[in-house]
Order: sequence, then C-alpha cells, then structure tokens
Amino acid sequence: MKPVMIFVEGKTGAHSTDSAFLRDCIYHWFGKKIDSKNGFFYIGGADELKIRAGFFGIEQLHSEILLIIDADTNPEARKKEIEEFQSANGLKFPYFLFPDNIHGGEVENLLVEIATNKPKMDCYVAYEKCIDRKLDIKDKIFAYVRAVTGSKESAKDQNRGFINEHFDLSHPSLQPLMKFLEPYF
Amino acid sequence: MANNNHFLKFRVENFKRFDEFELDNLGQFNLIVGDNNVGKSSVLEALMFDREYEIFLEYLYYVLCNLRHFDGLNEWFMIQYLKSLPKKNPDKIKFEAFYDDNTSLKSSLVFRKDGQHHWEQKGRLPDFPEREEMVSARQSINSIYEGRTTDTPYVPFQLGYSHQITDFYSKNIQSFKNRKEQFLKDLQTILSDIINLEISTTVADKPVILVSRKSLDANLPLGTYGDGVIKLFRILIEMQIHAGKRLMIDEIDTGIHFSRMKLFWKTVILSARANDVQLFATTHSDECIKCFKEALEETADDIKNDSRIIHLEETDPTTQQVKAFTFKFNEFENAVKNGNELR
Repeated sequence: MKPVMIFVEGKTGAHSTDSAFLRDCIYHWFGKKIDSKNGFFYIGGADELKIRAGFFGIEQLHSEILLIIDADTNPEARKKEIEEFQSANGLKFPYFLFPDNIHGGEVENLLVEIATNKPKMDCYVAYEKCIDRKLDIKDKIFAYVRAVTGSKESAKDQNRGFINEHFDLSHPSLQPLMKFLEPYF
Repeated sequence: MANNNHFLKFRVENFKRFDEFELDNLGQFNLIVGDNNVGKSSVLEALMFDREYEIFLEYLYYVLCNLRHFDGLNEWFMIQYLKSLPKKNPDKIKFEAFYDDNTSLKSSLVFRKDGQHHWEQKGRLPDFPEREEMVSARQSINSIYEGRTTDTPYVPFQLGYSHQITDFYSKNIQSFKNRKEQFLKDLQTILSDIINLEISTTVADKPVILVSRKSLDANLPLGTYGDGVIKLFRILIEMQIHAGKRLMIDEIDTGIHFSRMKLFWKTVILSARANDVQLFATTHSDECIKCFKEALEETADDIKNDSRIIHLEETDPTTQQVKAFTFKFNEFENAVKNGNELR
C-alpha cells in the first residue's frame, strides 16, 4: 500500500495548526505516529491548488493523497473548485473541509468546540464585546492556549500540541473528521 | 566504469584551504559529507580539474562568479583570484589525477610575479604528452569569453533552478534527439507515465515547458510540479551535458522535500548510471545521507558497489588539516542504519 500523504494549508518547512492538529488526532485515535516533516505537504493557501497540479500528479503515483483544508465561508464553492481541479488534471483523491465537511468554517472552529476550559475561552468573547469588534478566530485560539498554558511559546502555531488537558480529542464534533481518516490509518 | 574521465584517486596540494589533500578509492556515486567549513565545496572545485588548462580555469572562474554573484570578467580580478587559490606557497598548486583506465596525470599551476603563469603537465601514457605552457591572465580571460560556460560540471547550491530552466532545457536537450530520449527515460523513475516534453509559447507570456503524460489529456507546465522537481529536472539536464564525465553538485538536497528525498536520490543515481556520469555531491544533512543509502538499497548490486560516502574531517585545527575517509556501501550501510554519525 502506498504511504498516506496529507496535503494541508501552510508554508513548507513550518508546522501549521492544521498539521499539528491532524498529527495529534491521528495519534490519539489510531495510535499512528505521523512525522510532521514527512507526512504532510504544505500547499500554501487553498487558492494555490491550481499552480500545484503537476505536483499532485507526481504524488498520486507515489502516495495516497488526502487533501484537508478549510471550508471557509462557502463550502459548496470550495467543493466545486476541488472537483474541477481534480477532473481538469486527471487527479482523484479524497478531501475533507474543516470543520465537518458540511458547514463553512475552519480548523479553529473545531478547536473552539473542543477546548476544555470554557470560561477561559469565553474571556475572549467578553473582550470582543468590550472593544465592540469581532476579532480573528486564530487570535482567539492563541489567547486561549496562552491563557491555559501560561506560555507564549507554546501558544505559537509551530509549537502547539493538542494531546493535553486543554483540548478534548474525543469530542463528538470531531466525529466527521475521524470517520474520514479512519480508512487510511 | 572504464572511462578515462572518471577518477579513481585524486590529489591536490596547496589549493585553497588544503596543504595536501587526497581522495582515494573513489566510486561512481560519491557523497561527500562533513561539518560546515571543512572544505566540501573546495573539494568539488578541485575535482573540476581538467587536463586542458583553459577549461579548468574557466570552470573555476565560473564557480567564483556564481558564488560572488559577479558576472563581469576583467584581468585584474582574474589575477587576484588566481593569486587567492594557493594556500601557503604562493608559487605553485599541484594536481594529480588517477583515471579509471589506469592512466594518471600530474599537473602544476605555477605563478609568476608578472601575472603570467605556467601550466606543467606530466602524463604516464602517450595521450597525456608532457607539456609546459605559459599563459597570461588576459589569454585565460579570452578563452573564458569564448568558452561555453554553461558546460561547467558544477551545480552550485545557490543556483535558482526555476530561473531560465526553459532556456537551459531548450539549449541542451530539446535540440539533441538522443539526449531527449535518454532525458525522458531518466525522468520516468519519478514520473512513470511521462510521454513527452514540449516548449510552448502560448500558455504564458514567456516560453514554458509542458509535460505530457499518459494519464492526462491536458499538458501541465513544469512550474506546477514544484521546486523540487524543477531542481531534479535541472540536474538531469546536467547529466546529459556531462555524459561520460564528472559532475559536481553542491548541497544536493537543498529544496528537496524530506518525504521525496529517497526517490530524488534514486532518480539521480540511475540517471548518472545510464549516462556514465561520475557524481560528486555534498550534503550536511543526516536525512540526505540516510536517503542516499535507502535509494541505493533499491538498486542493483553493481550500483551499490560503485557508491561511496566520503567523510571529511579536520584532523588538526591549528593547521586546518583535513582528511578524507572513504566508505564503501557495505561499510556505510550499517553505520547509517545504526545512526552512527558519518556526517
């Protein structure tokens, strides 16, 4: 069987929230260790798919490709985009859109859901209310991890880990992702 | 391999950081490893040694220009550069090459105060007649101007691979039928269903290479295959240019994704084999060394037996003496497997 290669958003060489989260989920659910260097390809943003068509073509010959990216605001448009990309380039691979393959959103929506310390997560909501402005959900996660760990370093994208008391990887909202990944691990 | 362009052994004296330096027991596929600043790149430069003095000088100068991002040539700069090559004795650099057809050649580059230099050569067999020539820096520069610098058998690590790849391909592969056939064969190790490569002037505002594959109706531009594939593409072009000769590649693993390093190595090794290229590459990454070994494990025994890891080590920090230790496949296989540091 060909090795699994997960394509995620992010820059080559740097661990992203997406890859760290997936690495930890896969370990927690299936006991499989994925090396964040070897198991992931970083495709930049979702809009950069097209300029990597050839790359996907080569990968398809040598590995089992999974694409996991954010649905963002319009999941239907994103699905169409991916399917058109596949058919135009002779590619076929399963894909999953954060948070649950149905709704709009991103990986951080899942992280908010599975955060165990609700009062600390809600601090940020109060803060948004106070300044009367909606802030980026990524900042919310950063603030949460910083608050619960007390460390700025561990709150940074590349250092984040999810197998700890601050996140619940057995949370029901992760079921769709788990079902998607199960056949490959 | 039996080709009088390949080295079995090579010595150099008074060159750059080396008082005396010897590479022995060389194979066709040589990976040079060692700490930073131990002189890996200087070894590659010395290995460009050519029995034709003008050609060797042109190679050295090309590498200098590339490292310093210097693209003009002038007499003053050339003289300064030549003067900077010897380590201690400012008068003479010695090279001694032992080729795989059991011939050997001793050459010396002798400097004079007036900017002239001698090139003295002594060969063991009739096709390397003894000769002594005096060349001026101006003559050397002229020969470089006339020379085809793209043929320099050295791939520096800073080289921007995507830049001008279409030109490079078009000039060196597209116009040669035999080269193109072999080039496509070499690419099949990584892209098994490749059929053809074409240059198109219509898909973008400058010419691009389109890759045509069995499994796909549309031909995709090479650029969509990513930086790693473009680097490999460049190296495979060099294999065609230097077929039957030597090729030096500095920091061979730069820009290659970890998960594809083994496949990258396998493609490079098989291409070097098919084109009878003696390869000297450097790295300082353990991952790269490991993948070199793993790629070789998937090849035939004769290829394995022709591979070497050459470890450079500074044996005396005060004099900066560097020694090379050569390991054959069966020697480095276990060392790499057990995590013993060869680097």
